[in-house]
Formats: sequence, C-alpha cells, structure tokens
Amino acid sequence: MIRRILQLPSGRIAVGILGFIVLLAAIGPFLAPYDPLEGGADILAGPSGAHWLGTDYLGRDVVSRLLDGSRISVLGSIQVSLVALVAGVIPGILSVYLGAVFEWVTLRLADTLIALPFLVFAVAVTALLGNGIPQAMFTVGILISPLFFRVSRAATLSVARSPYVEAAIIAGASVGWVVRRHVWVKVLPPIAVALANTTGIGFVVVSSLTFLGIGVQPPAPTWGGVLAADLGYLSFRPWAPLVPTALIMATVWACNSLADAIRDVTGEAGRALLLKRSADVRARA
Amino acid sequence: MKGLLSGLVRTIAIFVPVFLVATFVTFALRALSGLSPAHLQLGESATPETVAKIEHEWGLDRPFLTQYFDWFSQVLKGDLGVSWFNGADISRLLFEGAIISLSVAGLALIIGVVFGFGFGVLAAARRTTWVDRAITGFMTFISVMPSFVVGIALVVVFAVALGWFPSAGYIPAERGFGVWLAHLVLPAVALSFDTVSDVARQLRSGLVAAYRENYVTGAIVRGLSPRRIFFRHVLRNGMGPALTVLGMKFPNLLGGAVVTESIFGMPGFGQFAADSAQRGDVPAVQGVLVVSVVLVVVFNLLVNVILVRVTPASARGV
Amino acid sequence: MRRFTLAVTTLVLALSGCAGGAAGDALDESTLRWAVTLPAHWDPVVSGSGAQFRILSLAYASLTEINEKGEAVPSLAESWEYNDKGDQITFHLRRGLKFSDGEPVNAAAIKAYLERAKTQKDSALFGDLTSIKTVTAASDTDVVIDLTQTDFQIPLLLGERVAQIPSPKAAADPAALDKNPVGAGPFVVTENVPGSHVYLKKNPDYWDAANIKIDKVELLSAPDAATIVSGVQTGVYDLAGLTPNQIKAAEASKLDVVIQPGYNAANISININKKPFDNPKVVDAVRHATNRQEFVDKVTFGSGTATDQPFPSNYLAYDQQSANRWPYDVAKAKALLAEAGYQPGDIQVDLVIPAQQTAAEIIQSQLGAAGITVNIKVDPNWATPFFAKDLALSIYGTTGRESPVQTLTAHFGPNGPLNLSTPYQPAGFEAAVATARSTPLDSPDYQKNLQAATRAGLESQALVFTYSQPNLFVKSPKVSDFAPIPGQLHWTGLTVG
Repeated sequence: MIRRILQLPSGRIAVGILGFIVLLAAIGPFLAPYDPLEGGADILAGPSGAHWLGTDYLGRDVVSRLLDGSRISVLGSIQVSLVALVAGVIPGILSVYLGAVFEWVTLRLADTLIALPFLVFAVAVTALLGNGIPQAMFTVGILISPLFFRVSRAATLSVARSPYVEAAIIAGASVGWVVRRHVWVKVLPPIAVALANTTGIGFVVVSSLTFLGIGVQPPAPTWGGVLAADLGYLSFRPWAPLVPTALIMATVWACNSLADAIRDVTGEAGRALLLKRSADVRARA
Repeated sequence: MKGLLSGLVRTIAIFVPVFLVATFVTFALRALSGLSPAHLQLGESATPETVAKIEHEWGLDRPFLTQYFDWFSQVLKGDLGVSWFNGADISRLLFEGAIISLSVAGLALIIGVVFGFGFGVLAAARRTTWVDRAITGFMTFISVMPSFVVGIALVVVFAVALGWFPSAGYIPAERGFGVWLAHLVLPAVALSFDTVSDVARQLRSGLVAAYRENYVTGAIVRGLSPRRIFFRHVLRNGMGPALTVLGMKFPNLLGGAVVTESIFGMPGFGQFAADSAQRGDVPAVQGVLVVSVVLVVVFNLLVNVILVRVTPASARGV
Repeated sequence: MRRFTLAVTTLVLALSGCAGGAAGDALDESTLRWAVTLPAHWDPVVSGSGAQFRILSLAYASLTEINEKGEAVPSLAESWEYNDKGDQITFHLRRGLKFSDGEPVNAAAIKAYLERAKTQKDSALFGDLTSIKTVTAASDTDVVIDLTQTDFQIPLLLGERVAQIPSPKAAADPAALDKNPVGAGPFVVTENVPGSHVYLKKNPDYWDAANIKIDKVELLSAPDAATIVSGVQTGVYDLAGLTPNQIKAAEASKLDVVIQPGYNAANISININKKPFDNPKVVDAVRHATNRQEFVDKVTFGSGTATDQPFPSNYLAYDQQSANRWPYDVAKAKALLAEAGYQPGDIQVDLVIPAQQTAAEIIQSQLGAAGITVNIKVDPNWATPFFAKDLALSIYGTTGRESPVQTLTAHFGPNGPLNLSTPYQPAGFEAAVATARSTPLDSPDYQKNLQAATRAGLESQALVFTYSQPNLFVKSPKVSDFAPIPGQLHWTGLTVG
C-alpha cells in the first residue's frame, strides 16, 4: 500500500512533508541553536545572522522555539487522533457485535458529538475542566471520535455481512478471532484515512484554542503558540506569523493529501479486487 | 412528499435522544468542573460561609439528579436560567447573540454557496485543464488556512489598508441595512473559506462523476443542448454530496464563530460561549450548548428538505 | 465569470459606500464609542472597588471626587468637616439634585447606600468600610458619619471607587439595580444588552451637566487585543483600552495613546503559610532573584517603571529609605537557597494565574535562574483559590486606591484581599498604619507617617513588588484629551468631534 501511495505525485509530496515534519519532531529540539526558553535583552528583533527569524517578546530565538515546538505540536495532534481512534474505533467495531442496546447507545452518542459545533464545545469543556493542554487534546479527541466510529462501523458491517465471516461464525469462531482475523484487514485502510484527517484537524483546532488563550501552558513552545504570540506583536514583526502559519498549513495539507492518497489507493485496490473476483466468477460460469 | 415526511420523522427520531444525551452531558459539566457561582459573585470578599450561603441559594446543595430534572424542565419551557456572572437572563442573551452569529453564518453560507458552486461548476466544466487544477489548488490552500490568521489578514488588508469595510463591531439591521451588511462582510468571508473549498471540491467531483453517467451520454446522443444537459441532468444529480456537505458545515460555521467573533469584536454566540467558559459561568455554557444543538438539528432538517426537493436521488431514498 | 466578478465588485463598492456613510454620520449629536469589557455588575456595592468603577462612573455620581493631585474635591458633597478628634465627619450635600428616577439625592440616600454596602451579603465593599460605625441623616443635606477609629482618609475613600451613589428606591431591589443602574451621574442608560452593548445619553440633571459636552456614549464589547487598534483606526471605536504591546501599532496609526497617571503596581504574591515559602530564606531568595527592569522592558514597552513598593516611586507614600532593600542579585539568591538547604531544582512550585501573560513567564525564568522551578498554571477560575488564599504563588496587579492607607492595608493588613498569606501581617505594621490613618491630610507629618507605614508594611514576606504599568488607552484624535486624574476617567469637559 505504501509503495502505491508513493506512486502518486501528491502522495509523494505529502509523505515527503510529513517525513520532514516527523524528522523535525524527532531531532528538531537537538538542532535548535539556542535554548528555546532562554530569553535575552534583545526582544522582538528582526532576522539577523545570529537569529534567523529574529527573537520573540522575551528575546527568545524564534528558530529554536519553532524547532523545539515541533515535537509538542506533532505529538499533540497525534495525541488528539489517538484519543479519537481509541474512543471511536473500539465502540465502532463493537457496536456491530454487542447487541442492539449497545448499538443504539453508541449510535446516538456519535450523532450527538457530530451535532455539536465542536469548537464551541472544545472551548467550553477545556475551560471548565481546567485549562491545560491534556484537557484540550482529550476534549478535541473525543469530539472527533465519531469520524473513527463511523468508518470502523461501516467497514465492520460490510465485513460482518460477508459470507466468509458468517461461515467463520457458523464454524464456531469467537468474536475476538473474527475481529482480529477478518475485520481489522478491512477496517485498517479507512482508519488510516481518518487518522491522517484527524491529525490535520487536531493541528488546526489546537492552534485555534491556543489563539483564544485556552489550553496554553507557557513557556513550552508550540507552533500555534508561537503564531498566536506573533499576532500580538504584528506592529514589531509584521512578517513573523508567516513562518508558523506555513508550517501549520503544510502539515495540515500533507495530512489531508495523504488521506486522499490512501483513499485513492485503497479504493483502487478494492476495485482491482472486485474486478478480479468478477473475472473469476465469469471464468467459472 | 412522503420522502419529506419520513425525513422529518427520521430527523426527529435522531434529535430527541441527541438532545437528551447532550443536555445530560452539559449538565454533568458543572459537577465535573467543580465550579461555583459564589466566587464569580463575591470575588475578593468570599468566605466559606458566604460561599455556602450562595450555593444554597442557587440550589447547588441538592442531589445531582434533582438539579438536572429541575433544569431540564425549565429548558423545555425555554428558560435557560440566569448567568452566574451577571445575573442576566441567559435565554435573552443567547437570542441576541444568535441573531448576530446567524447573520454572519448566513452570509458565510451564502458566500459558501455562491463561490463554492461557482468554483465547483467552473472546475467541473473545465475538468482536467489548468483552470481545474488552479481552482483545486486554491481551494486546498484556503481550506488549510487557520481562520484566525485569515481574520487578521482580512482586517489588515480590507479594513486598514483599503478601508472598504469596518474592521470590527456589529450594528443591528434597524440602524441601516447597508451598515449592518458592511459589518458582516469580513467576518463572514473569514468564516466561509472552509465552506467554499469543501463545497467546491465536493461539487466538482459530484459533477465530474455525473458527466460519466449513462443518462448524460444518452442525453448527448439525443442531441440536447449542453446547457440543458448541465442543468437538467448533471447539476441535479451531481450536487447531492455538495448539499450534504453544506448541511454538515453548519455546526462548523457556528463553531468557527468562536474565533471570528473574538477577532471582529462581535458580541455573538461564539464570543458569549468563549467568555462564559473562561469565566466559569456554567449555566451560560450549558445554555450555549443546548441552543447550538437545537440550531444544528433544525438546520439539518432544512437541508434534508431541500435535498429531497432538489435532487432526484435522495427522493428515491438513495 | 467576468459578469460574476463585476457583480461582486459592484457589491463591494456599494457596501463600502455604506460603511463610509456610517462612519461619517455627522448628526449634531456627539457620540463616544468606547470598546470595553462590559461590566458584569451595575450595582456599585456588588461591583466593588476594582477597575470597573471607571465605567460605572458614567452612570453614577459619587460623594467626592479627586483632582489631578489626588486630593478629595466636592462632587455630590459640596463640603465636609471632621470633628476635632477625627472620629466623626459630616458631609454637606448639594441641594436640589435628583436621581434619574426622580428620587431626591439627600442624606437618607447616602445613609441607605453606606449601610447597604456594609451589610448586603454579596457586598464587595464591606472590607473597605471598616472605619465606618454609624451613618446619620442629620438633615436633608447633612450626613454625619461616626467612625470606629480616628481616620482622616474618609473623603478620599468615599470617592468614585467606594461611594458611587444609586437611587435608594432602585436599590430596594438590588438584583434589578445590578442589571440596570439608576444614579445621578453624567449619563443615563438607555439600552443595555449584557455582554453586547450599553447605550447611554446625557443626563441633564447631573450636578455638573453644563460641563458634559458629549450627548451619547456607546459601550461596545471589545474585540481581541490584536484588532483593537485597527478598530479605532477605522473609526469603529473612539476609545479603547490598550495593551502595552500595541502602543507601537497605535502610534504608527496616528492615534492618541493615553498614558493615564495612576498608582498601579504589580507584584509577586507569596503564601508564607505554604511550603517552601514558610522558610524566610526562600522568600529572601525570591526578593533577590527579581530583576524589575526586565518587566519594564518586556511587559510595559517603556510605558511603565520599576517599583519595589505597592505604588510607583513618585507617589507620596513611597518610602525612599526602603528603596532597593533587596537588590537584584542572583548569586545571593542562590546562596540563600543553599543556606535553607535546597539544591537548585529542589524547589518546584506552581505559579497560578488567570490568563497567559508575559510577566508570569519572566518570573518563571528569573526564579529559574536562581534555582526555583516554577510551573505556570493558567486557571480561568483563578480568583477562587486566590482570594481564598489557597495558592502558594501568584501574581496580582492593582490599579491602586485614592486612599494610600487603604492601599497599604489591602496589601499588608492581616485580612487584606491582596495579602496571600492571611492572617499574617508584618510586625509593627498595625501600629504604623494606625498612626498614618489618624494623621490629618494637611498635617506636616502626614507624608512622613505614611512612609513609615509603608516601611513597616514592606517587611511583609507575602509580597514582592515588581513594576508599575499605568492604565493605557488608545483614542481617536477627535476625542479631546482626558484630564490627567490619577487612575480615573473624568467626563467633564471631554469632547468628541
């Protein structure tokens, strides 16, 4: 599947960007030329040989803050999508197997979460539950979990109704075995799509919350935090927001493109499978 | 008509449990947050005794379920209680705020429909040419821009540099339609980017798919004019997904108001939500959430009705 | 597509035409549009003596006012005098005034207000009124106040912060008054939508109405700090509060930046009842680790000054003797911590603040340099633990008080709201402040006694003062200059146009 994604030009670029960003998250903090928390007397300076992107309102080196912040930003949005994954996929798959009551309850919960204007809810819950990054991540993750719930449920349903699963169940296979053996295979591609999508959403939402002053935990740098701070000092460094904005946009774009690429590839794979099958059928006939 | 009715029933069947769950979750927020009206009111002069007295006055020392049912029966009557922060009637504040937010969201929706359909149709009509690629690229670009950056950039360019629109504030329509609209333009544009790009992309793929359908080929063979083919067959069959997306965008428009209203200083729904949440004004936050659920459901209902009317496929229940 | 573009362009032009029309609706009436955080409470008793009194002063007149030198001058009270002992004061009201609901402004109204401020259960003012024993309406215009102690600060105390007088009839229902003010101030509220806007018009019955030159005031909910300046620049607002980081933007836009004189002081609040601050050496380390100039440079952008006392250094109660008692000296701070038995990094403490602010990050890095690890916790519900004195470390910025004695007791008194270490008070403070309180304001010893009280107060381990950031406003050049009254906005003489 990965090779197929890399065959698409958009897939190549997306993977390239994401690879670069993951690399930043991994080694960025070591590349930082200065201590990202260490302020200096020279505040809100423009770009120079010593500080390529200038300094922020405490005189901290912006390059170092962006490099160092890449880890928290990336881990943060991955955390969002992992929370969403766990909160979505498990009930999504189980809703098919655990009976009508569980199915009804989970479906209604998913409907509810979808219906909520989620930035409003994210703001409300994060602020009310104590204003920290974990609270914000957790809230946003739960709010976008229906995405995972729906795709995993749909895929599971399609599998559950297929003859070979029925056969397995008739043959006395346990639910756990069926899920591991048959369902996962079908469920994984749409989950990969949703994972890429939610990581992008996580990026945007968390930076929006940061802008509103919610879920902020100074002095640790994040891209959203650097951007929000830059917007407050526009008259000193009018060009400054461009860099963190570009980083956020590139990441979100890469996540979305990767999601599209996976969808294209797996969709194609599915079609290829279908064509092969119908060819088999015709051959047999 | 039958489709309409069943759609209505289906929506209501979804709405009732959603409403119950949402209200319960929202109400449980207070218990989870451990916030109290006492400190909002007393500030510097809070002592444990006065705090207990105030909490008793608000009935917060009663069992949780009693409080919930009490609150819920008031909500059903349209009474969302009073704010811990300033003692104001929350229903009234939300009504005033919703007018502003819905004005902005409405205009954003119009912009989303006009430009989304414009770009989507153009890209589909010129599919696989540079126009298509340019539009698709541009749509992708604007869809990943954080809305607060868009908002501030719009203020800098269109309000400060060009002076075309006021940079902030809201003027009620009674004070003049033009002034009212002028104040809505920038926030609505900032809010609409996401909708424009999603509608355009969905419409493009929907239309491109519709052009491939047999009945379109049939129509071309029958010698119908391209215009007739487009409006009669392609558009009606290809815009379903775009309309659905439009329906799903509404919660986003309402949610995005949190950011845009803060930038543009509009005392709407979103700002009310953010302010109340940050102040720990729990009844106000609960009110916001209840009203937003209702608004979203009503809007989905409307979209379903339109969908049934406009696209043949959804009338058939596809 | 071309037609489409044309249509859009036309629409834009049409709308911008309208916008221009709105900005220039040059009726004869002059309107001041002020972008503010709208007050939550309109009952002065509930609103308290914090910053919101500036907005409430549109609707309420107060018993006294202050002038540019910070001295009490007549307002609703035309004159006043003390008895010889200084434990009784009589205010003489102006005659023939009435509240906007037609009720007379008389001694009974003043009595009703002060008694309510002392007894109403959600009063935010009762702590300010401990000197007041009884209030008597001796005649229609004479209010006699008997005091619990000799206190010459009363005329300063009963100014805009503590004695904005509402109509007693309206105050019979405090909840209603809290939503809609009824006073005898320069303006009357005509429309009030909480959280959205408040419209006021000129009150012809205000005692100094002849000097009120504005016909209408519109209070509008303020946008994000990043777009406030553009709001004033494009004419949406005439006046708004300004954060120091936007001074440059305001000046670049050719707007007026108003640096209001005042008594502001920011501090680091310490709770000596909690670890590790129960060790005086740790407190001393914090004192020596604090570099005030960094706050001036990075928080105030040069608009403020460093101060190590609860007011700026040009204030009359500022004690030169105590200046720079604990100079900035990181090495000494480290040594003190070592003496107290702490290795660098041993001490971990939460700094709890209501909203993200630069000052907190500066404290974090300065204390960090001395070896104290500070974790910043942003808690919107910060006021609860702060005023319940449950925090170990926090920060506070006061706008100061007209009465210097009130400022001192608020910070250093055993129950002072800004004393995070309640019930602690420094030794000798109580006696020193009593002396200052009982010194007549025109006595030659007044300043000396105030400074002695400050000196005694500064022994408090509960507070380390950092910098003084005056209140900042940005205004359109068409609004005339404000009278330079310390900490207050006065509406008399102000013009828009």
